[in-house]
Amino acid sequence: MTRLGCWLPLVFAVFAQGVYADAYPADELLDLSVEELLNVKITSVAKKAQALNDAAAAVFVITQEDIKRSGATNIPDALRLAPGMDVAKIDSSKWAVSSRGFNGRFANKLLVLIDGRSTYTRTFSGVYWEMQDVMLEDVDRIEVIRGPGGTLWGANAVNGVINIITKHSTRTQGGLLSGGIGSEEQGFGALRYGAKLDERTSGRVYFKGFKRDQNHFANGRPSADGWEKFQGGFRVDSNVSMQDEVKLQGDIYHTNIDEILSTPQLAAPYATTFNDRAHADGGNIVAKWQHTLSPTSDYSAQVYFDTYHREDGFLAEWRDQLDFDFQHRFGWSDRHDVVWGVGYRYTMDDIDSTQYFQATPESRNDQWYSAFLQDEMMLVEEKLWFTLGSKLEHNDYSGFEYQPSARLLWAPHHQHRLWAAVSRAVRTPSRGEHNGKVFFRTFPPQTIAPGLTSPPVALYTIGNAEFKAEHLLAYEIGYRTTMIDALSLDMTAFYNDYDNFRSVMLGDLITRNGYLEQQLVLSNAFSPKTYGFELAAVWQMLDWWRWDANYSYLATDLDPGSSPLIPVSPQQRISMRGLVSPREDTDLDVWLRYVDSAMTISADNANGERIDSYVTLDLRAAWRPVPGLELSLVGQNLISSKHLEFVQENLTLPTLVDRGMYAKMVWEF
Amino acid sequence: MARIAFYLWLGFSFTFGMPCALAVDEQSVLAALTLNFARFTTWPEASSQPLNVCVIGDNVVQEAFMPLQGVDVNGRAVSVNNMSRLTNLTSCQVLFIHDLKRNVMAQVFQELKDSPVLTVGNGLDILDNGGMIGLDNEGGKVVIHIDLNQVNRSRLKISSRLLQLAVIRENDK
Repeated sequence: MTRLGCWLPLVFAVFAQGVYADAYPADELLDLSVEELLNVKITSVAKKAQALNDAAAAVFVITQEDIKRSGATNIPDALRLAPGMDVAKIDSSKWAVSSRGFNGRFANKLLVLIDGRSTYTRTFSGVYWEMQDVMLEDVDRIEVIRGPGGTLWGANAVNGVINIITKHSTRTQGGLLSGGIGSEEQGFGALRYGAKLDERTSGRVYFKGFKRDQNHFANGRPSADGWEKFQGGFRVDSNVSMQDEVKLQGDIYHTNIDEILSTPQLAAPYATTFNDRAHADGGNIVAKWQHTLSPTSDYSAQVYFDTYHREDGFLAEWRDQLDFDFQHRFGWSDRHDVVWGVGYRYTMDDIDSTQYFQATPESRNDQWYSAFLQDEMMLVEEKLWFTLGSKLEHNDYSGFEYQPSARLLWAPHHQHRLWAAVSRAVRTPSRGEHNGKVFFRTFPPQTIAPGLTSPPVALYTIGNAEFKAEHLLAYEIGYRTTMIDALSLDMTAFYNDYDNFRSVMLGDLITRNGYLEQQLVLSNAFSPKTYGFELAAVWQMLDWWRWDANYSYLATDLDPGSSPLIPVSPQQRISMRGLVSPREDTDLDVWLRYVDSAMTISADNANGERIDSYVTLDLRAAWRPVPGLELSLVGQNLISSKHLEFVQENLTLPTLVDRGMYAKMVWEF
Repeated sequence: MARIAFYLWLGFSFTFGMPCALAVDEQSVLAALTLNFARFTTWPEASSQPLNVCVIGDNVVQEAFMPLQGVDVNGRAVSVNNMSRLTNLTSCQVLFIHDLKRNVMAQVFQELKDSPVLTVGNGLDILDNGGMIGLDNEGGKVVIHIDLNQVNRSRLKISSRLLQLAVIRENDK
């Protein structure tokens, strides 16, 4: 251990100080001369364990280093790093991702942005995770905000907001080639090249692709859910003047997804499974202009166009989205920091019906207008801040919606932050909830008496144009401290009170040719409550050994009779990571996770599917033999050969996640 | 005490001839360097008022500057001020900037124009946008870069002793 040589001379210094810390405390550094200071080896390794977030919200930042050392190969897996995030893999290409409850493949309470572009789809008011990807090496950070963010971000930021932010192109100069092979990650590669285009302009292009292996069912049969995807993109940043910066970026992708679909039938055997191959293509282009007027004032305008086409055995859809956003921030009277903005979004879709899903009308164009105003007031100089704001918006589904919030941040000392917030958030209806019709189950004929048989009953969920927005009133408190040297703690507690929550009521029973059609109509009858707390700790035990641990507790309090219709997320989750660098050129990472049992809703099982609790372990070893080259070996889900994390609401069979290993190389040139 | 430990540790590093990973927190070193810069700087108007050292940065940066509070600099006591709002910047004698967005930084220097405020920051971006001293991390050690044009325009005088230890930029922009 080369490290030992460094420790010896410090032994008595440590005794003198009484704690393990840096070589000497800051106030003694003040006695050193400039020459001596220039000879000191510096480190910012403990920064993560010392930094406190100044937001009056439950924010957790996942850094590029965290992503790399987690071994995650996609965005949802990286999100498991944050406390309170409920991430579950459904099969090779599908995830259920939520925060503070109500998880599902079609979860609808989390807003996800990639470089300011919303990934929200109106189809089900959520995110198709298999269609969202970035060059992970170019991610600067992922900001995970648990709790409502409607005041700034607008509708559908009910249980959280995720901001995936990629690096400015000045910080991705040169080339990066990464690639690898493995058992589940059968093959993957990515190439990025960045360059200066002129004195003021820099840019990058990237291309990536991967192929993932199928998983297995509980009985050991392969689940035929392999997945491949190709994506490319670019980003250009230019300082057109001292005050103006423009950014242009875009991506384009194509993906093929294998899956086994499980669908109801109107004739015997009334349910069937078949191998399906889904395709999705899409792309986006984002342009942003930012003008800085002074240190305390700037405005920005952003416009983006996003399109996708997705087709599988359940439905085929095309969706185009055009979004315009303007924001202006300014300070006045030294005490106020005001931000206001307006937004407009136009979305048009075209949905090809199948026997399982019909949309009426098949094509629909929607508009969405919004305006917001927020003032952050400093009540006591550098000690107490109060933020008040609201968003007001209009959408074609539920009309006007308002989303106010009030937040208080108190910094009694630079090692402590206390905050509290009350906010209202709104989840607006989806296209499916207003115009969709889903065929999800058939009850086979029943023999009532000899010679007398009831017809089969086909169950349909029917969208309802009267379906209103779901509302949330959220109460949150939080405390962050770095009181203990090299240890940071972040604690949050919340109480979420929902109203107008989605429910179904018995609709018409219609006699069709040879069967009965029982309609279930969507309504807003439920008012569930959730409450809980989240703890996150970062402990820099030694300067080359860090622990990241978090624990979240979530209680879900449902209306009587609503349990099979509302999923219940795991009550307890524990994540523990050890990041060890025994040598400058070597990393060893261990990541242990425990996830409590959960209940999902299921078209095939009226009582819902129970997901057992599980423990899983990931290991990573990395070695950098020469600067710019890193070789790593990652093992994922090592504890058992396969485990179940989630069962989708309908259409797929319970698929287990297989144990996997992969080897990876990253070369920067 | 610190000095003895420092030399012992330096001696060991050389003896063993290997990079020692045990190191000092970067922000504390930058704060200590900033204090030294203030000692090597002469402001155009003599004053016995407190020397305002203003800090733009997160709690880690702020904390690193706390020990400077009350320290004597050529007969003036240091007063450390956190500037979360980026207002009243001309009331500072020394301004330390940590990780400010480029466009905001450019506006900060626009606001300071040629005021006698010694501007220090981490990295070299600060020099490209109108700052005076950039502290760059090169191979785990700090290297001082000084833009003399910016210094001269603000009528500050920096002692040649400090200039000898720095990489000097004198290109006219």
